[in-house]
Amino acid sequence: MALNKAQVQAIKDVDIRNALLGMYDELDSLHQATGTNFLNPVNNSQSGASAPPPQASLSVVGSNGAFSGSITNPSQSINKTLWHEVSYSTSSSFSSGVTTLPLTTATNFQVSAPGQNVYFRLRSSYDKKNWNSYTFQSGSVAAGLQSSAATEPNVPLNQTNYANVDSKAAGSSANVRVYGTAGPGTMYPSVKGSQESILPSATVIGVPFNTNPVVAYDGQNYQVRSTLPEVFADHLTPVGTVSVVGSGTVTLPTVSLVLGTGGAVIGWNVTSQGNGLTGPVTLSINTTGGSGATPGVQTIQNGKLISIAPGNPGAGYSSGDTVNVSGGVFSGATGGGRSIGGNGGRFVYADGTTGGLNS
Amino acid sequence: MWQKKPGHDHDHVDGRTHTHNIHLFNSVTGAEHNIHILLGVDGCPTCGRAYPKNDLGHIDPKAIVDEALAMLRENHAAVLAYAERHNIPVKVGPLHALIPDGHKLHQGMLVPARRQK
Repeated sequence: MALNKAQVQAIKDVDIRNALLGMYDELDSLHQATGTNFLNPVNNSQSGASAPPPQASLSVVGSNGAFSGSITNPSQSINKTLWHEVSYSTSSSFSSGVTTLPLTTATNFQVSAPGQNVYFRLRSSYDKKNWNSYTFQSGSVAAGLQSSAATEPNVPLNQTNYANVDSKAAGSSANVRVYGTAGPGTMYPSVKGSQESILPSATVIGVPFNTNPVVAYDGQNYQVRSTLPEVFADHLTPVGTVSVVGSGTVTLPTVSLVLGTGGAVIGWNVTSQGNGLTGPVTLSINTTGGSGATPGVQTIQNGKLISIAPGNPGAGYSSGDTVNVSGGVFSGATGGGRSIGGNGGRFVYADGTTGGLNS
Repeated sequence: MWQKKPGHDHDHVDGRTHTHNIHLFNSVTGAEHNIHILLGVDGCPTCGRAYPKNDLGHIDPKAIVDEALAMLRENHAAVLAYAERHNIPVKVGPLHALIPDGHKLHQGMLVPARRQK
């Protein structure tokens, strides 16, 4: 505030006037000595600390499961600490589900929220009490989904292994074996993220028949669990799953033909699934005039033949033709079990790539 | 050669999962093989805790270990015999990086392919 000497001299009360004139002279001499001007400051246009600052601008983009925000400070506030409060909501009116980020003086922020599609807003303050109006990001922003490359190296994704998991009958139960490509008793590589390690082979003794155990490694020991979600704990590395079927006589399935135009075999119908199977069955057709038909891949789970994919259709088959079924025993020995899915018991991705978590 | 790892950590019953864990290792190649004898059934799907079996009398862990060691030693002997037959040294690979220091044997880690007399 400026202090005018003429105004002081116009004060009628002598004592006050003399006191103020004395102060004026002291300040004036101080001004002369230091080169400052307390009595007529010129830099008096700045707002008080309690006034809200001018609007900052906000820009948020979403990518790879995260939001990246950038705040541009107003030029008037470059000499003051400017606090920002960013919040977001799935509602454009911010009437519910509002998440407010911690107050910051930084002008960049990151929010990890895979799959989220939200609205952003920003307000600023000098004193964290008096805020200016909200500045809204135009429209909603989608974070997108997080890619495998963006995940932490140790999350239970993006992993693979080269273990074989099968089972072998041993009395009233089965032994589940975990081993590498060189056969039982050999180790195998396991890849988790970008890290590869060699895991021990193992024999798990006493696994009940008629179960589909899932095998995981906890860093020292293998764990045998009943279902796949049980091996999703952070400390476990899923290794594989196996169908342990009962020991004893194999009940062969029965199969019939599905014929199309010209007597072509367009499908193989499993009329009864059988039991105790540990390997693909051998299929042959009793026919009088057909030729060339072959079955496709067989799906066997829990010792039962679930389905047969169509193979070469051939031609000339008739409705009276029948299918002979034999075999169904893995490596010619009854009992025990074998890996699920024909992939050595490993988990495979949905796209068929070995190593995922979808069996 | 294949043998049991020393210490209780490598031959113990896990009271939570009711599993007898036995760890074997090959002091020459660094390979490892685990034996897990399930002493319980129907583990809790949440915590993995298992219920103990009633009849464990027929389980002979020593026989199980001996059988596994015999199988593993047979495989190992086949490799050594091959190396000896063709006069090729057996060099220890990076698998040893996975073996705790206390389990490493520093003698015989590099087996010269010399015929025994």
